[in-house]
Amino acid sequence: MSFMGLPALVVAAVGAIAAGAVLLLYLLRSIPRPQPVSNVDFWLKAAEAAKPSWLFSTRIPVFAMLLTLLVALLTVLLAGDPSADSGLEGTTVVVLDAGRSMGARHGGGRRIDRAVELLEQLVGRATVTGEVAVIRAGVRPSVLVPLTSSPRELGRALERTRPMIDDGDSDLDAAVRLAAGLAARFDEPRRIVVVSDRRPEADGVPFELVSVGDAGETLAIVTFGARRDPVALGEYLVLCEVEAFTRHPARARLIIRDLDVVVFEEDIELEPGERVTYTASGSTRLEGELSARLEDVQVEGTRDALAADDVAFATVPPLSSTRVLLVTQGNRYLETALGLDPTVELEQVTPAELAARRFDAASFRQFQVVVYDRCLPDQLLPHPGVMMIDPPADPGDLRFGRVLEQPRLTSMATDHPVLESVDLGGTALERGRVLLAGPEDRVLVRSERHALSLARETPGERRIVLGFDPAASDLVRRPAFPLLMHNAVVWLAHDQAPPHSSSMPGTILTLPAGVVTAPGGEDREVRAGIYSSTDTAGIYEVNRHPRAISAVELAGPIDAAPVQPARRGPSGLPPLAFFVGLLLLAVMTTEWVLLHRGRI
Amino acid sequence: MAEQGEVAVGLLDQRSKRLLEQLRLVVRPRTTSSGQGEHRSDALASGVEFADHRKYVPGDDVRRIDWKAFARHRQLFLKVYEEEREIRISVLLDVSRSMTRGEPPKQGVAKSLSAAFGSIGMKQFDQVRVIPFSQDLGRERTAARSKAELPHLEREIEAIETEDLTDFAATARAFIDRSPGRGLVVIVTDLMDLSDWGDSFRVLARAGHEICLVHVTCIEDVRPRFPGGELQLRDVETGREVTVRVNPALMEAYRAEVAAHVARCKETCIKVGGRFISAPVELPLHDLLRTVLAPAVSVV
Repeated sequence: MSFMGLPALVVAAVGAIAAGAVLLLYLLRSIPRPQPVSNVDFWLKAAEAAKPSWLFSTRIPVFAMLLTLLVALLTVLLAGDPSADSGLEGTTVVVLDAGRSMGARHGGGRRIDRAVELLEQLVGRATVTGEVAVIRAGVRPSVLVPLTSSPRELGRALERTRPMIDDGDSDLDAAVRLAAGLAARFDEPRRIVVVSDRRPEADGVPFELVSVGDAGETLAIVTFGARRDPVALGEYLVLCEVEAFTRHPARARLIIRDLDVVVFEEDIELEPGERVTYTASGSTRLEGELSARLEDVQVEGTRDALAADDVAFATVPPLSSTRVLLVTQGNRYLETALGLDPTVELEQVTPAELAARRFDAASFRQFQVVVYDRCLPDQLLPHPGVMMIDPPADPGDLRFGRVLEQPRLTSMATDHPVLESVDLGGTALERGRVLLAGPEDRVLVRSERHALSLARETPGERRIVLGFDPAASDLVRRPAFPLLMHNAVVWLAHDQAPPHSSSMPGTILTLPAGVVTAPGGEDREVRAGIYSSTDTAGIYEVNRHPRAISAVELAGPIDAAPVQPARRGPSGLPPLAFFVGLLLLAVMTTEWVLLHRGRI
Repeated sequence: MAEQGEVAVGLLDQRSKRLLEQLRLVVRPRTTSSGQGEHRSDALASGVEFADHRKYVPGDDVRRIDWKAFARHRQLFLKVYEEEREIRISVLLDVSRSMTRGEPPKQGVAKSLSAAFGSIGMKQFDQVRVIPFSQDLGRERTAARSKAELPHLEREIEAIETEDLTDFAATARAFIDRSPGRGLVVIVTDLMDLSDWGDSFRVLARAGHEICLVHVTCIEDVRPRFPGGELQLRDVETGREVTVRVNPALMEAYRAEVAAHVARCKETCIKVGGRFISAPVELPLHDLLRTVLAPAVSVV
């Protein structure tokens, strides 16, 4: 027998201390209390008459002491988490699964964490009498720790491994073969211990499996979103990606609805690990509330392990027009891009006309967005949404750097709403002016380390600055240009409605003060701007604007396996602690019934 | 109630003394002594209480011939009167160490009861002696006869000191040797001695004494409530120590043993014409006198 929870020496030491404590207690108990009486002869005669049974004899303290000793030693044994096997002797090669599924969480901890804990215990036992090597079974198996008997070295290596999980399935079979090859170099006894959430199929290689879970198979919606079609007025586009986190083919029916209207319905079949993108379109001038569902999900040989990733939600902003004032000497590409945008109501003026019309601040604000194309007025009126394209001079609150000839765009902030779905890769610019970004600026486009485009957001004001002239590049001839302008106008108009992106359940939302209506219809007033009751996936209405909360971002394999099988020891036998616990309970009950129940 | 060793305080409080004023000792007539007293005796002589007639025989005192009877029956009859005599009350007070046990200690109660018997006796002009005993009969205190001597008697009783062992057989033999006359023997004891008390009672009865056995009890003796587990019992008289494991069976056996011993003493006492009184120390003295002494005395 060996111990999983504590080293055998520690168990023995604690057991000795417990035994000493019990014996001391017995000795203290065995000192009788003095009691004067009138005449002991009566007691002696009574003692003869009583003829006590063994349960009442003076040997009872000895019996009780022995029982207490047994209970104490069993308790220590139980604390040591005994295992029925005889420990690890000789050479042990441990294969530690570091594949994607080992990141699955069970009760707050990941499988890899549990695996490392188990390994640390195994190492503690194995290094006493033998040597241990650890093979990391990731996408490509590798030897993590060569053969060593140093538990400290192994512990450090395992601690480093804990946060590292490969973004893919582990090649467990290859890892076991590698372990077999390593073990074959050494004499018997030798063994291979695999710590994983699945059983490798290594033919002919004997190994022992320490299971830390069971990778569930699930068919999941991993991406679901919708946006207005910048070209087709009133239409929206839907993108839905489904991935099979399975080891067998999976089938389902994918249905996408806008409220009750079905906009997409198809029977789908995916191979193991396959990811398929589905697109659909719909039409509404109002806010769209979209849902995607996988129905009748079938995974060959098993069941869909997670239902939460079979549904996703998205919203579409309502169709609205934005008044845009374009100040330009003439730019047919820009005029066309803005003029064809069905959501834009365009008014075009030259810089001279702008100066002649003498806008005051209030009348200037009738335009939601003002675009200065290669020009700037003498006095820049304050405005909440301004776009400056290749400004000829410093507007006062922005510093220019040098001019770059034929700069190459090296990085784009694709997570910014202005560059959403905009591909600027490979754009050829004639020249570009370097913009010196301030702390409130977000660099949208860089050429090496130089900023060529900025998005500035300050309270009550947004501004986009392009340090280059699109007309002097091939950008205006690419589909990205109208999309860029559309995104820019939408972002500059910065509607007060919350963004139409999806969030994960449980996300803490930062919202304007108002009323949030949950999917169940329950209203809750939000005062502090923080809303955290987002546990349920669905469409939440924020001040009557819908907002989607979906589990789509959870649909990776890391959280897709809720099944947690009971841990089994390396021996494969039921946990010995269970029987020890039962014995302990029986002993304590027997002692109480025989010695203490109803006794003085 | 006076505590052990408190000489300055009287053994009987005023309330108890008032109660004792209303009580009177009743003894069998043959227990009376030869002295004049207030008790009816079995001697038919020149008393004032008419008892019976008997035929005249030569030698009788002619002054006691009932001439009215002679006129009616033409035979000579003598009037016979009961003679009222005193009794000698001997209070044998157990002063062995076992009497120090109990809450309050048995010895204090025993002394109060002894004083109570003395008070009643002296009120009836009886001769009262309090004699302590343990292994043997102790020194006899001066016999008291009148109520005026009660405080002196109380002080003497209070001054009696505790001794060691109990041996009532030796005590009884010594008492008979020392007091050949008849009388009432009040034995105030806790009976915590396993030897046969019955033989001694019979010896006293054969000597003409009337026995009144006052059994002073305490809970510790008759129904102890000791904690369970190992106890080292120490005999307060002999100092002997015995280790026992206290359990319900042992406690029950002990209670039965004590009860049987007391029952044997009581049976023998009653069989020889004596009286048995149980006096638990837990009762207040006044209640003890009122309820416990009732079988032994009568209300005036």
